[in-house]
Amino acid sequence: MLLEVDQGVVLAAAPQKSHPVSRGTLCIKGWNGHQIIHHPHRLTHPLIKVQDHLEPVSWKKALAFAADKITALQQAHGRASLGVIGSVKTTNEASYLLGKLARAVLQTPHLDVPVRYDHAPSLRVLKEQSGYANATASLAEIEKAGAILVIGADAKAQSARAGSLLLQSARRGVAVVQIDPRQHEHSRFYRLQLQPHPGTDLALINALIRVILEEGWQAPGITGISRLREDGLDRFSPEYVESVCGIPHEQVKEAAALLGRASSLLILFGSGITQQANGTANVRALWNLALLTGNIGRAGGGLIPLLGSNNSQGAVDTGLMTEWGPGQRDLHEASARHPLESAWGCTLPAKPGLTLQEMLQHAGGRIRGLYVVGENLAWSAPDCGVSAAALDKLDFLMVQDLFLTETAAKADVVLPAASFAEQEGSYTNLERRLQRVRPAIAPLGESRSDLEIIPMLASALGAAWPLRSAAEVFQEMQEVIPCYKNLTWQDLDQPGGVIWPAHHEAESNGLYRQLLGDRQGAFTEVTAGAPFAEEPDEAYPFALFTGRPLFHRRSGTLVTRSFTLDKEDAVATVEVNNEDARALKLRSGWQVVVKTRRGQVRRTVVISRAVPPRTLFLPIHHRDGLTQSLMPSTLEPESGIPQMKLCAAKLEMV
Amino acid sequence: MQVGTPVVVSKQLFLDHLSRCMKKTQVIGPTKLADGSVTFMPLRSPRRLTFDYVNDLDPLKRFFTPPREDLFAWDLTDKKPRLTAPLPDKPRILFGIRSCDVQGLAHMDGFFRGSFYDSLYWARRNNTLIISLACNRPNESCFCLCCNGGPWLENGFDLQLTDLGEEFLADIGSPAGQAFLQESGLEAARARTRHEHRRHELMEACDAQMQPTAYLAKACIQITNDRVREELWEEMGAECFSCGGCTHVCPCCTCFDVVDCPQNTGQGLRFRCWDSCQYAGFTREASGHNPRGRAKERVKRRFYHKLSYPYIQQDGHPGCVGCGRCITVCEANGLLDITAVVKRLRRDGQ
Repeated sequence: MLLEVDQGVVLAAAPQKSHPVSRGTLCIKGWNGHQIIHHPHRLTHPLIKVQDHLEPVSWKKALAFAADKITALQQAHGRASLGVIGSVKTTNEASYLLGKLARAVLQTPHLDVPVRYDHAPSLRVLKEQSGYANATASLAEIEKAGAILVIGADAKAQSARAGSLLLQSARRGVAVVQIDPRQHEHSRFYRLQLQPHPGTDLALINALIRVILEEGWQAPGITGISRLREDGLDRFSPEYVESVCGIPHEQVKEAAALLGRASSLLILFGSGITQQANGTANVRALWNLALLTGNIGRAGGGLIPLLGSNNSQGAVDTGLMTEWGPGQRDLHEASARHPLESAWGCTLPAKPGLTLQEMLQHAGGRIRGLYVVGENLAWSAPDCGVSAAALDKLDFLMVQDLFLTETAAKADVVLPAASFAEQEGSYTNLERRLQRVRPAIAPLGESRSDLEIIPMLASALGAAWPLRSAAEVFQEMQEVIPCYKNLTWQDLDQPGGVIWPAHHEAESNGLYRQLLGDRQGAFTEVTAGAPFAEEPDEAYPFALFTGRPLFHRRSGTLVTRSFTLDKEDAVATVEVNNEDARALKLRSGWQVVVKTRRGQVRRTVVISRAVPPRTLFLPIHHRDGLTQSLMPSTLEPESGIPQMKLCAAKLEMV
Repeated sequence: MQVGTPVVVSKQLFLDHLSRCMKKTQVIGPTKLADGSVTFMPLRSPRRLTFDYVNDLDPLKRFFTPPREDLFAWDLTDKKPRLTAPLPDKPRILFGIRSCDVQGLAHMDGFFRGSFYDSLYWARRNNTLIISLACNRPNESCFCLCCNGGPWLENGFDLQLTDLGEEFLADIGSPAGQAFLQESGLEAARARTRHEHRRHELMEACDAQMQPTAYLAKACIQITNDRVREELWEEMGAECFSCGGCTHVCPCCTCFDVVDCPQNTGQGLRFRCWDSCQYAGFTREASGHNPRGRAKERVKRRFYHKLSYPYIQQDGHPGCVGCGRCITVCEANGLLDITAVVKRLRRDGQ
């Protein structure tokens, strides 16, 4: 993306025709996201809390204040009383430094990043099965796929590039099968859409696997199939699944035929299947499906989790998830931990710290202080009313952000960060592609790039970190991140950057062809999964689920400050099935209150056949009552992702 | 040397004169960047000026109606409220602009002097000498031939150059263009038949290279007579990503938004920026009602404005000059750019 600048003011964004991913296109957020840069509410001075209100101070004073508070807190309650929450939007270099600061300087195990909220199960399963916590295919594979399964995602809204390639494939006649309780705008162009009851995806995926096996459509030479049978795959007959998911058994068989008989199968999946009680089990089942059909490492095949942000993958690779260090190292393995310890000159804990949501749950107890970079937890966390209250229990909160978000407003120290247009570094997209970001303008006011703020804070804490360029930090990262070894800063400078590990086949699925050479057939456990944590009942008769509209992103901190994007989000809606609307005597445009066991929001009714009967669909986040205040924060035990996709709800007239 | 009479000038001497102009007037021209790409920007010397380029994605309307421009700043902190408006731009030369963008400007002129006179637009327009370059190298998405947008024009420019190798064939389109040539002191000979014949050959060769087509006639008839099935609009609306890219890059699209941006107590800035008829927020009314709340209605509106007879009559031209930029930027690749839509409307004949 290019920015047009006149006298220090960013006027516009434009796409690059030669870019291998965008190919000259941008989504609505790409065209208009730059409007946040000069928003009048940008933070331009550090702030510290003085008698319940925030006052602007110099950097020196803010950092000294923060360092004193952190030191006192850790002395009083132990190193592990401080948690650090990174961002999926900061550069790789800043993310790496933040992880190093947390682990080597602050010496706390409690470090996490909001990719936990979207794709913790996906990353966990992919890492556990393939050794790498990332997609097994690049976006370009969509064009080569013989068939495509999209599950738990509205690709058009969540990843316009993937959505665009998918639409083109569908229009070319490629069999695209969508599994999602809700019909999307592009669903009509897909070959088949299955609308299971919310939360029943696992049974459906297992049924697809069973039909493929029964019909003998699995890839030749696949071993280990007996494991699937032993785990009880046979119980997932299409007829059984019809009773669980509400999908006619003929449709299940038809989908299995489309997917199982294709020359290659690409699976795109989103948070619709991960933010559930069965998040990890769902992704395991998808892994089994891809493996059974021989699609790990095959051209036009593989698994692509649709990670939600510009640097979700980079945050994982640079070590911001509590269980993995830089280079996705398993920190519980001494052999992975020791090189990092010698490089950083510190001792690292073998046991992972608390995950993001756990830190909020322990706020005021084990966690007495938080340092939050670029995340508005008071709005983005599930059950956010409770989460926001948890922030109030902290002895110390420091926030580094562009704006005085609802989280920053609660902070003791607020550090003004520079926007993407003022930063130097690199980002990694969902296909492991590292690309440069270069400053178009100088940081506004007294704001600083993350690459400056973190070393300044480290120095204030006594670590004496020098200020370094992104290239210098990247050089250090290459020493501890094995998958960056073959890259050079010049590689990143090319249009379109470079896909790690940058060997000649990295662009396709070569990484996995090599990796899986002798691991064919490593199927994962088949489980029935956990039941829907909050089944609809008499008091709350609807299954409520959420999703992201086209123009929205995360908690809305940025998009609501782009005047064009903000205009798109003027009306807070709830989608109600037409049968339910008739029974409740509702009309489109009426105001209703959507209530769950955690809270209530007021919404405008949209009557729609896109959602099945007895379900409600809410777009995530709206300033007129937060969707996330309704959703549960119960954790899925394996990956630590909150089960925030689904809950029981009721509608009341205003 | 008269308006309407083509002349021939030495290419080298013309460029030498343009270089001299760079010292006293802003000259914006096709500039080669470090990465090899070419974009239009102010030139301080002819060193980075290039003729080796095809149209890029950035429409040259941005020099007349920038993506964001300040209208005025207010200051209410004193007793006497103050409004400060930006200074009008200084004279400048826009050199090397392709015919499609010139034709786009003609389209915009109609809008900005229509029911209201836009003084900022016209300040820039009147201060800018347009020296266009007849196009002899279309890119893979150009189709100006179908839309009377090129590759060379009969009017709309101050000077139109055709590159004949050692010489430029110069069409003088306005007194300003005539004055520029006269002040240059260049020897300008009246063009002979062989020069015009050579241009004809070059333009024929350019026409032959154009790949996309947009046979507008039937699409115009279909739209004007409301013969397009609603289902087709419905389908196209569902395909659309509502990114607004097509309108941002279109040389004929003029929609803008006006934003008040309070900065400190009592102070602020009013600016305008490009908007898009493809965004729901563009037509939402204060009551919350939106006459074009669905993408289907917005897509329909876009092509109704581009192709229906009442608008062609009002604007004097279809709302397309064949620059092909929307083909590249459309997120629904190959489905909703104007060539694709024209084809779909033709085939949807009733």
